[in-house]
Amino acid sequence: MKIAAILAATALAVGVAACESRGPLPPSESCPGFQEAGSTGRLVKAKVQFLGDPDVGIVEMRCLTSEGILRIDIDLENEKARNQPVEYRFVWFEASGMSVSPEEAWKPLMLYPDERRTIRTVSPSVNAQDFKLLIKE
Amino acid sequence: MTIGRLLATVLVVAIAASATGCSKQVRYGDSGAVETVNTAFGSTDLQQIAETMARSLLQAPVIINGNQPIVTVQEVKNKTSEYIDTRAITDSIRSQLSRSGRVRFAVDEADMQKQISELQRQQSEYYKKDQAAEVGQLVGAGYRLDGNIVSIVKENKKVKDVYYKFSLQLWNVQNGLLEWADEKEIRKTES
Repeated sequence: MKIAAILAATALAVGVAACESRGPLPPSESCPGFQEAGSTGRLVKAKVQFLGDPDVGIVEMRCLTSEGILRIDIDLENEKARNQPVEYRFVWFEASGMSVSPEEAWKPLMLYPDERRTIRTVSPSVNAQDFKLLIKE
Repeated sequence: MTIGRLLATVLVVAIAASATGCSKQVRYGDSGAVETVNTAFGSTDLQQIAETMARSLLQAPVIINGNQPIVTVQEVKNKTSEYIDTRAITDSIRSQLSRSGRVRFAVDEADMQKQISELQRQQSEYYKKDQAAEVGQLVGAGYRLDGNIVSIVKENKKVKDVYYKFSLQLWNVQNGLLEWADEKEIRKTES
């Protein structure tokens, strides 16, 4: 009986220690949907929509939630060896999946040849908990 | 064909052609589309400035830690050489902040007269006394927003370059401390 209790306590302690050592997720794994996607590549497919055919790659997405506000960094890469003007905007969603109004305006962005650039944004309100990024030529 | 008939035919064709040329199509566009008609201050500039400022302000410690602080919007000075309705910019910033639910706005200087007029109207004999808004209950703002927009324009025969810088500050009304400030820069080039 005592042995069983000791074993159970040990297993619990090991489990708690394992959880504690994991700590908070790094920003590269903290974007909404990352756990379901499992990798940055699949997350990018789920979160980024290209309109037209811009030669832009997504290198990394980082997210951090602080005081209910979602901060997002997305590293873009110009895959052309010349200047490439693109436009982008974020679309926001509530936890329920309903879209957050109003829609953002398109933002112009000039990417220099082979440049890697970080675009940053924060959610417009605490209700906006998920997002999509639209990029067009 | 006589010369008179020939002239009449040419005239009819010319009128028909000009009439066709004048019939322009009208269609609705995307109000959020990037506008690059010329280098003058435009809708995309307004939208970019308002969004950047509102999102930045949402991250200010005084907004995050405050319990829906009360803000009043003061004048944003237009120091550029062109006409810019800076009130339209601050109205957009105010709308976005209001929707965030993290900031409340007190009536500002520009709308104060309308507020007083309405209060005085409700104090008249035409209104029920128990439902009329009371005088002396206005809430003062703890913070005030003000700023300016400047531009630098350079051009030669081939290129025109316009640089805008929009600056916004949040001041503590009680102690005069600057609680938050940010800038948005925009460069437009026409060639």
